[in-house]
Order: sequence, then structure tokens, then C-alpha cells
Amino acid sequence: MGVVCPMKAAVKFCGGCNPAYDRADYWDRIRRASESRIEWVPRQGEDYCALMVICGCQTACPLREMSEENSVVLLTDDALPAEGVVSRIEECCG
Amino acid sequence: MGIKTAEDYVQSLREQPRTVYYNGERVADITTHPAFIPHINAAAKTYEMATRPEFEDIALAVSHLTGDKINRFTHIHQSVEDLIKKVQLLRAIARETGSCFQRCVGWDALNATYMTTFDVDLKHGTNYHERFLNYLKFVQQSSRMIVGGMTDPKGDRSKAPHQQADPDLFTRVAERRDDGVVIRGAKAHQTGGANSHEILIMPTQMMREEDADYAIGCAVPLDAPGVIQIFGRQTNDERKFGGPIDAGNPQFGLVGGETLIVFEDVFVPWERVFMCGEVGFSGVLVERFATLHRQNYGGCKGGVSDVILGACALATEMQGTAKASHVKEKLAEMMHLTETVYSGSIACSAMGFKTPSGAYYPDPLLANCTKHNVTRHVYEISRLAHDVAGGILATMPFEKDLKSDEIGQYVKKYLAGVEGVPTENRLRVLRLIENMTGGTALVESMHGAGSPQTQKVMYGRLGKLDMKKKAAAKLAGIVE
Repeated sequence: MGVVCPMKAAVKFCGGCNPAYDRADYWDRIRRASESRIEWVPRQGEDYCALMVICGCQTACPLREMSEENSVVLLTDDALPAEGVVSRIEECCG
Repeated sequence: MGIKTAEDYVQSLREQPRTVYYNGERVADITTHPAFIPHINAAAKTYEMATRPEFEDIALAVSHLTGDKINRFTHIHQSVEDLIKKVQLLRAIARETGSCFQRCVGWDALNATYMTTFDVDLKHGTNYHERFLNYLKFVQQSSRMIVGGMTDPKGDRSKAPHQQADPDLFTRVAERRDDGVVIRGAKAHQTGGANSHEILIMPTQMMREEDADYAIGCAVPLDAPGVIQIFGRQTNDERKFGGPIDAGNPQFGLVGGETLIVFEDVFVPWERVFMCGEVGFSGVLVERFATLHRQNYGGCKGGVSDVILGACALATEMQGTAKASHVKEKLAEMMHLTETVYSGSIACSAMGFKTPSGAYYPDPLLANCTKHNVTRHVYEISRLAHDVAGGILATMPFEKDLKSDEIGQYVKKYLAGVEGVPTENRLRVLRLIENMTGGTALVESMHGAGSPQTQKVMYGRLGKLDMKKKAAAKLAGIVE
């Protein structure tokens, strides 16, 4: 029987045209840090309490195509340790 | 009632007499002095164009504070579209003036201070942003022209402000009082200083704790007691006192008209102080101002280059060289360079983003590249202009020779070009090219908004070299 996570979150990436850091590597670290705490679900067809948007730079292009959402956790660099990101998502989910 | 028209603007300068020196003498009224009139005319364009329906889409904006329609030069950018309109506006005005219209520097100071006071308050619990919002409302409602005061004289560049032999070589707080501060020092190369209404002072560089007195941001009216301005010389500046042909661009001059602004114990009330000792944010404010200002250069220099291109095309038509393949090729190259610098300004705007304050900010790496390109491309455009215009650019006789009863006939006869083109027209367009492509005009492209080295420093910080190395290592099959 799998672990039941207390909250669900989704992830979205920018296009990655000229990123300042390795977004995929950062995502891996966040996913590992969130094990048993967050269940990552697809953006479409699932409910989630936070959307993590991983962008390669401060331009954060995906935000231009998204309506204002309070539950967005925006990352434009990898300065925040993965554990810190998970905490922000948990705060966002209340 | 705010300043709306060009006439309002000139009248407002008359109503705010300031202490300005030109060539060793105090100027009683800058609005009637030939050295200042072209710069006033150029700045007046920023007001006049905002009253013309064909420009209102870019020259006006809606204040996010009041909802009122305001002159865009007092607007805080609220979107990427605002950033793009800024660049479009600069190009449109520069094409009308062929010279600097000076007002962008204060606009950039307003935006940089807006963003930074917000951040300072978050960290320090101060109320600078609220003070600044009140000041901004005043600026938007009055449409006063602001000069952005960043560059300190700096003295010995190898030493920090507090280490200078003369402590005033960086603008500083000389005294803190219950009702405000007293500042002393100077700001150099202040574009449009003589004909602005206010100066918005910012620190000149990142400061350390021991230089806390130098981390000062504040607004000062230019008629405040103790403010003294000394106008800088320009190439061929005495031509402003002669006829219109020799001046080249008699209506709008060249560059912006720069002054050294001295603060001899100037009092600033607290409500006009927006940073006072928060050294951790001095570098942030400098970088933001620099980025916002570097964003501009493909806009204004794009417009100026449009005029150079047009002048060169006219000159070659008047001289009968327009159909030569090498001339066409050089004009095409000038267009390429012009649109390249403009593209940079549009690109850094399009990739701009929202800051925590809500104000939008251009991509700093691309903005720095844009300005860096201007330090090269405007020189190359000017070199090509000299090439196609010919050596006559450097040997033309005086306007008085052309108009002389005795020798005017020889000037008209021997400096004639294509049949039917008045010699005077040929000389006028050549003088315009001379005005726009040499001396002070070029140096402004090099050092305005920061020297090339300051842009290269930013590449080291923003250039993402680690990611480029990673991409190369991956393709080369290097396994770590």
C-alpha cells in the first residue's frame, strides 16, 4: 500500500530558452524532499492546493498565460533549498 | 494645474529661477539664453507630443495611483506593454528632435526609486515608499521634469567615499536634523539639469557600512537654496550663438545639455528623503536605475540614427552618389545597425518582469547588451555617415561665407551638387550630419547610462556561464 500524502500539488515549467540554472535537477531535488508530504498530480483533471511554477529566469513567462492564482509558488532561481520550497508549498496549502 | 503644453513648460522654467552658470557667468534666464534654448526645445517636445493625437497612445499613460491620464514620463511601468511603449516613445521623440530630450533619466529614477523604497520598507520597517508615493503623485499631477541624479564626481576612483581626501566628492548627508537632512556634494553629467524642475538623487554605487552617510536618496527642487549648476561645454557650442546653418540642428542642439550640480549644504525635509543609510539597498537602486536607463538607448539612439540615415540619404542624392552601389550598401548597413539597437531595447522590454512593488522592470542582461551595442553601433553608424557624406563634412566654409555679398557666389558655385539643388540645402544637411556624428554626440553614446565596462561587469553576474559550460560539456560527452 502506497504512502498517502496530506496534500496535492502540481508543477509547471517555463520553456527553458536560456535558464540560469538546471530546472530539471532542481525539480528532482524538490520531488525527493517532498516525498511522503506532497503528491504531485497533473495540472489537468486533478484538484491540487498549490501550483509550483519553475522558471529559468525572472521573466517567468508562464505567468503571462495564467490567470491570477493565489496558490502559485513561483521559482525563478534555485537559491532556496529544496526543503524550503516544500515548506512554501505546505504553507500555500495551509 | 500641471504642465501640459510646451509653452506651459517654458513658462514653468521662468517661474522657477535657478542658479546656473555658463562660461563663467550666471545666467539670468535660461529660457532666453542661446546655449539653453535648444535643450529646452527638446525637452518641450516631451510635453508637446503628448498633446498630439498621433502620439497619445505612447506619450500618455494612466496613473496606477490616481487613474488620471498623465504624461508617460511620470508613469510607473505597470506591464510589459508599458516597457515596450517606453522604448517606442523614445524613438518617436528622438526622430523629431535628432538629439537628447533629457526626460528619460528622471523617469528611470522615479521607477527605480519606486521599486527600491518598497523593498527597503519590507526589510527595515521604514516608510520611504509611502513618502515616495506622495512625491510621485505630486510629480504626476504637476508633470514636473525630473533629472535623475546618480553620478557622483568620485575623486580618486581607487578609494571608497569615506577615504577620499575631500569627503564631498560623493554626495552625502552632512547633518541629520529633526525636520530633515542637510546634503553636501555634487552630481556630475546631469542631463537636462539646467532645465528640469527637480533632481531625484540616488547613491552613485553600492555603499558599505562605513559609507552610510553616502547612501542617500532624496528629491530636491532645483531652485532650492544651495543648489548651483555649472553647464558643460559641447563640441562647437559657440555655433549656438551664430546662424542656424552652422549650428547643424539649431532647434534642438546636440546631446542633452549637461550640468555639474553642486549641493552646498542643501536642506531636504524628511518627506522628500527616500533612502538614508540603508547601505544594503544602495547597490540595488543603482543596478535598477542603470538597467532602466540602459533599456532606453536603442529607442532614443534608434530615433537619432533614423535622422542620421535620412540626412545621409539626402546628402548622397544632393551630391549625385545615391545610386552608387557602395553607398546603397552603406545605408543598408546603417539601417541594420539602427534596427539592431532598437531590437535590443524592445527585447529587454518584452522579457521584462514584475517586481515585488508591482512595477515592471526590463530584463537586465538584455538591457545591458543593448547599451553595450550602442557604444559600438552608433560609432559605426557615424563612421559610415562620414564615409558617404564625404570630406566636405570637415572643410565646409562658414554660413557667413555662403551669405557674403563678396564671396557667397563662389561658395554657391563651387559647393553645388546635383543641378537644381540649392547649395544652401546641401550645406544644411551636411551640417546636420556633422552635428549628430561627432564629438560630444559620440561620447554620449559611449558613456551615457554607464561606460562599456559597467555593462561587462553585469555579464559576469547575469551571463549564466555555468549553464553554457554545462551545455558544452554535455555535447562534448564529458562525464563528471
